[in-house]
Amino acid sequence: MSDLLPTPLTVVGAGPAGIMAAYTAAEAGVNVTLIDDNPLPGGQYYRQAPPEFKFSNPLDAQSGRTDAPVVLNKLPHPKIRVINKMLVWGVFDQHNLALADGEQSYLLPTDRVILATGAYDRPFAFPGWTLPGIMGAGAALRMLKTQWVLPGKRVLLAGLGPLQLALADALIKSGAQVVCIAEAANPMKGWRQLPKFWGHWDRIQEAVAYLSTLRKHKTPLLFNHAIIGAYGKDHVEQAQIASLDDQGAPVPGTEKQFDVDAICLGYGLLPSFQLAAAFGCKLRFDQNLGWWAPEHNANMETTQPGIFVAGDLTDIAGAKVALVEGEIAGANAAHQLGYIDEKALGERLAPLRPRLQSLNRLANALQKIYAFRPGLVKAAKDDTLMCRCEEITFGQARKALANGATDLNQVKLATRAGMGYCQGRFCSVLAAPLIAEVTGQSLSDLQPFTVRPPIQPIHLSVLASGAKVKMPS
Amino acid sequence: LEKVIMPGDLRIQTGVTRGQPFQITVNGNAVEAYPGETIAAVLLAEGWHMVRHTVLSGEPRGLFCGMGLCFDCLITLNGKPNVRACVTYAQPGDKVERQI
Repeated sequence: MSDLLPTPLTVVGAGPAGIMAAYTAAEAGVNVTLIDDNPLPGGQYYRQAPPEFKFSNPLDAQSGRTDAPVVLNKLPHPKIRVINKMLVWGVFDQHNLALADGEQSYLLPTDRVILATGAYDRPFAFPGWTLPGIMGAGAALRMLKTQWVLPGKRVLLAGLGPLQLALADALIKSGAQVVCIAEAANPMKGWRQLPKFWGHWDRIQEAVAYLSTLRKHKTPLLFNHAIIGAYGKDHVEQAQIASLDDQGAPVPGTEKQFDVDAICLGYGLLPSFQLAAAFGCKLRFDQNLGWWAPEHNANMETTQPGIFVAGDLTDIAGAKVALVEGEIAGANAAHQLGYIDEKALGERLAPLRPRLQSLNRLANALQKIYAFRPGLVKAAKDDTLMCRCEEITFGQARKALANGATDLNQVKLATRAGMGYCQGRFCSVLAAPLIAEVTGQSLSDLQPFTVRPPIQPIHLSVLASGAKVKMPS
Repeated sequence: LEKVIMPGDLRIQTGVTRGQPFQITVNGNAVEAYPGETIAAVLLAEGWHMVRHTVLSGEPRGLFCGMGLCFDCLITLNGKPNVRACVTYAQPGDKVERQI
């Protein structure tokens, strides 16, 4: 264990945004530390398979995506120190990042920070949703694409958006049967967004390829349907879906049953804003997401000077937007550190702005077509678990609200929902609509749970080891 | 972890070559694992969808977020409790035990 010089810039998260941010700053001459909690860089989108696996198509080692090598091969870089398997669990005095690697904790001083902490699967609650075999669409994709293990053999997909088609395509090609795709969007509502797809031919081509796989395998794709129940003893054996009304609420009498051994829930993604919140960055309520994300300006700088954000953390706009945002954040951080002058920065950013605008237009269209309609929360019943960690039902939260709780923090104090291992990442998004409904507030009037370090659970022994500050070599 | 719910292997065989398999034990049962596999992948591939029972109601849980955030896939590994199976790589001789 040797002491390590801190770098002026630290990038947290080595997905598309983080890699591009680190690379852009490094190319300008900045020494960068790039920290990620996975064993290999790439994030979720360019997630790399274990090096022990050998593939007949070499691209499969690098997520199988055709543009993956271009991004992943930016590392290693002489100016970038990559630290894998390292969690950033807090920040002290705005310039000291608290890290932990499972054995011990460290303090890393830094000047500027770019947060590219990504996103996670939005939870969707319904009776039976905690049964083994029911997992996030992201979890299933990771299992397929990096571990090469199927989530099941008879799989039902329920959710919102094109990720469902990508997952169905991957499942079918890997030998699983997709018994049904319940797509909650109503295409009749979304057609006005179609002109925004003009010019994005690669995305259209991708969708057409997925749909042709579904057609070939006669996979039912039911629009305006959502999952409303799952049954089984020790694992899921049956799934129940129903069609939705105008608001997105399930319509009684329209239920359909499917025998399954796995269900993948893909109701969109939520930004992992916890570290940004720990920095004191202001969060804004995103109407498309129906959730919070860090506020930032056109330079990707947050309300905290010198703290930047990029990628899905900012708005769930996908990998292509993340790459551009990473570049903008990296160039601006390098500028603030004195490595790029005003004029060069302007030239560097000029071509990126229109590109980002065009990509964001498409992302925005997709977010509108696949918006999370308010009625969808009606799939959960009073005896359905809202908080998986502390095992709190929606009914218990309702009771706390009847007793006078009016916001997320008060429901947490009254019920323990949000005090468990996941620290409210999952239950807060389920509790918020209920609180808004019962108290007559709009969702945007609420505030997410207060974030406190450690932003992810770490063992006390790891925390205690930080008393002797050491740096990883 | 006593119930095998699906006969056969959920590992995808075409397009991929795995290394030399090694053994781990799951609640005392010998189970084959491949280098580079997470413990969650080994359990899922071998047919154990259920990973644990919850502390309060005792309901079954399995892999959920698959990225280390939800802590539903907790196991006891070589005597150490509360290890996330989805982000932990299997090593030869690992002893996996179910928590409750």
